[in-house]
Amino acid sequence: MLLAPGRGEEPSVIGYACSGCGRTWPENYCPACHTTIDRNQLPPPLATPTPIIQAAAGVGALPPRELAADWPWPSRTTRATPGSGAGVPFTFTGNASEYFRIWIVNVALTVLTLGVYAAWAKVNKRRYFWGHTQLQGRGFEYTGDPVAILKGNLILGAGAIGYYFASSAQPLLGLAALGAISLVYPWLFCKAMRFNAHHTRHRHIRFGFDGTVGESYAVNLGLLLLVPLTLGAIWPYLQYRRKRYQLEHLRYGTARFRFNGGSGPFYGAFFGAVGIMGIGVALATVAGVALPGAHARWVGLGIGYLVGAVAFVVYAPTRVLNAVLEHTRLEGVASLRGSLRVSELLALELVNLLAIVGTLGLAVPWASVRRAQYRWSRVEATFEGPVERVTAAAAPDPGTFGDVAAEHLEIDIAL
Amino acid sequence: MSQPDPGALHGELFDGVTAAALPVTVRLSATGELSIRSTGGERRVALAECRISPPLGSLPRRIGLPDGASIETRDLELLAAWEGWWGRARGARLVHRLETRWRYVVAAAAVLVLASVGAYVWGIPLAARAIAFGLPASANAVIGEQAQPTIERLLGMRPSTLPAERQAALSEQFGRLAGEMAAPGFRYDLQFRSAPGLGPNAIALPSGTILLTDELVALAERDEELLAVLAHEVTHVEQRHGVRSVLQNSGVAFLIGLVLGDLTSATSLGASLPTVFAQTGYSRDFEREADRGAADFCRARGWGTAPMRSILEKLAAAHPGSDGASWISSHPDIGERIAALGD
Repeated sequence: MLLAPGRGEEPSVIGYACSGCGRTWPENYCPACHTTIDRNQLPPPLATPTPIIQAAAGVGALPPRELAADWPWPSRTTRATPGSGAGVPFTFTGNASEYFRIWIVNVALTVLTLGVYAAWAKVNKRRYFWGHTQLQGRGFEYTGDPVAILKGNLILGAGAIGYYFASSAQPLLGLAALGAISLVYPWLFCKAMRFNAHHTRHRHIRFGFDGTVGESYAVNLGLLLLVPLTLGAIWPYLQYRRKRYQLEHLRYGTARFRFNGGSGPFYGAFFGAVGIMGIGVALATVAGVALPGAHARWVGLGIGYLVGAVAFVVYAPTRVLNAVLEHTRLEGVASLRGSLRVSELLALELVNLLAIVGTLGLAVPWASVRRAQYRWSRVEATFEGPVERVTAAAAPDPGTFGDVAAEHLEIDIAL
Repeated sequence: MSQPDPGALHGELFDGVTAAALPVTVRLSATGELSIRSTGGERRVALAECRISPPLGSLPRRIGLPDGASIETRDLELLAAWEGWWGRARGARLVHRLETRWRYVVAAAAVLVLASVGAYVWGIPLAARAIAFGLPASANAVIGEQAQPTIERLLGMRPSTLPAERQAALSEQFGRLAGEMAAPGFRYDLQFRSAPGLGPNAIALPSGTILLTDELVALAERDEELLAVLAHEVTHVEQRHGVRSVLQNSGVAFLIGLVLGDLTSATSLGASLPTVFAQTGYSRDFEREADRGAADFCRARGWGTAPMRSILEKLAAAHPGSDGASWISSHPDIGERIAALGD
C-alpha cells in the first residue's frame, strides 16, 4: 500500500473553507459547488479542536460551532455513534443540458454507423449516469469495455435475425428457440450479475457478486416451472427470491450486502398492480361501449395500455424498491432507505411522456436526467461505520460474455 | 503548447485496496513526470505509464497509476491541457469536443434527423427490396407457408359454399391472369373460402396461394372486377411484399430502437407508438403498389381501371366506417385509392 492514509496521520487542520460558497468541509472538496478546494489556500490551523470531533469522542462540553448546515460527512473517528447519523441522501449531479449534448452525439453517430457505435454510446451513458450518482461527493464508476458490448451486439443481432426468419417460416422453431433461451437464462443471469458488479466501482473499490449458477437455476427456472402450477400465485415469491439472490451475494469490496426482507411487499405490490389493471380494464370496456365509432376501440385500448403501464411500470416497482431498500444493508458500513412516492413518480413520468411525444423524441435526455434526479434524491444511506475501512477483494475478471447478457436482458442490480 | 501548464492539479488518491481517500496535489514536470504530493509524502510516476479516463461532460476524471491506485480529480481543464501537451487520447477527445460545442450538437441533431428520415423513406425500403429480390422465389414462399391454417382460423374461414362450376370458371380465368402477369418461381393457387366475419376480401400469401371469400364473389357484378382484385393480390406476391414488409418493419423498429435507446419504464411506451405508425405507413405504400399492378393489368386487358374502381366503391359501401383515421390503418383511404387509379 502506498501513501497509507493511517489514522495517526490526519492533518492538524480539520476544516477546509470553500472559496465559492464559504462553507467549511472536512475534506478538500466542496459538494455544494462541486469543486476541489485548493489546499494551498487553507486557513491557518484552528486553535481549538472543533466540537464535532469532541462530541464523537465523548467530550461534549463546548457548544457546536456552525459548520455547513447540510454537513453530510460521517465522523472521522473510528467509532461512529451507531444510529446517530442522519440518512445521507444520494445525489444525482448530472444536468439535462450537458447530457443532451452527449446524447445527441451518441445517437447521431449510432445511426450513421448503423448501430456499431451503439456500444460506445451505451458505455458513455452508463458512465455519465453512474458517475453523477454520488454519495458523499463521490460517484460510481462503470469500467465495462465497449468492444465487449459490440461483440455481444453482433452475436445477439445475428441470433435475432435468424430467430425472426426461422419463426416466420416455421412457428414451431420459434417456440423451440424460446424454450432454449429459458433454459440458458439462469446461467446468463448469474454471469450478468457477476459482470455488472465487477465493473462497478466506488472509491476505486470494485463490487462483486458471488452467487452460484446452481442457485440461479433453482430460483429462475425451478420457481418459474411452478408458476403455471400455482396459477401465477407464486410469481411475486419468485421476484422476491430473485431479488434476494441478487442482494445476498453482492458485496462491495470485502463488505457483504445483507437483505433481510420478506416476500410480503412483493405480494402487496403485485396484487395492487392487478387491482389497478382491473380498474383500467373496466374503464376501457366502458369507453369501448359508450363511445361511438371506430375511435372507441382506440380510446379504450389507449386507456387500458396507460393504466397497465402505470400499474406495472410505476406502481409495483416503486413499492418493491422502497421495501427492498429498507431491508438492505452493507454489513458494518451502512443501511439503505428508499422513500420514492408513486404519485410523484407518476406525475414525473407523465410529464416526461408528454414532453417526449411533443418534441418527437428530443426530450428523451431531459426525461432521463429528471428521472435519475428524483430517484436518487429519495434514496439515502445511513452510515454505521466508516466506509474508508472497506477493503478490496481479490477477484478475477469475470470475462466479457456477462455484459452481453446484462445488456440485452436488462439484468441489473437495479438500485 | 511547448511545455505543460505549471499549475497544480488537486484530487483524491484512492489506493484501490481500501476505500479511503487521500487528498493529493499533482504537478507535471517538463519531462512528463507526475509528482504526487500528500501529507504522507511524495511519489513520482511517468505520465506515459498512467491510464487516464476519457472525458465525458463534467464528470471527474481518473488518472490510473500503474500500481492500481488512481487519482480522481475535478480539475478537468488542467488535465486536458496536460493531455494536449503529451499528445494523448485523440479519439476520445474528438468526440468530447463534439459534445461540448453547441454548434456541433446542432449539426449532430440535423444529421440525425436527415439520416433517420432518409432511412425511413429510402434507405430501409431500398435495402428491403434488394434483399427480397436477391433471395430466390422459393425463399419468399417459405415465409407464411406454415401460417396458412393459423390465418384461416384467425379470420374464421370455412369451406366455400360457391358452386363448383363457378369456382372452376374463376380458377381458369385466374390461371390465365397468372400466366400473363407472373414471372416463374411462384406456384399460384386460387382457393375459395367462406368468411362471414371477415366479409368481402381477398388475401395473398407469399407462397402464391390466394384466398378469395364468397362474400367478395357475391359483391362483384362482373368477373372483370374479381380479376382486378386478383391482379392486386398477385402483385403483392410478385413484388415480394411479404418479405419486404417483414424486413422493413424490423428495420424501422431497429432504427427507432437505435434512436430512443434502451429506455425503461413509461417512456418506452412512447417508443412503440412511432414504430406502429411507421409500419402502417409502409403497409399503405405496399397497398398502393399493388393497386398500380392491378391498374396495369386492367389497362393491358383493355378495360381501363373501371373494374378496379367499381369494386373499390362497392367495398367502401360494404364496410362503412372504414375510411376512419387513415394514419393508423394498414390500407390507404378508399377515396384516395380510387382517385389514384386515374382513368
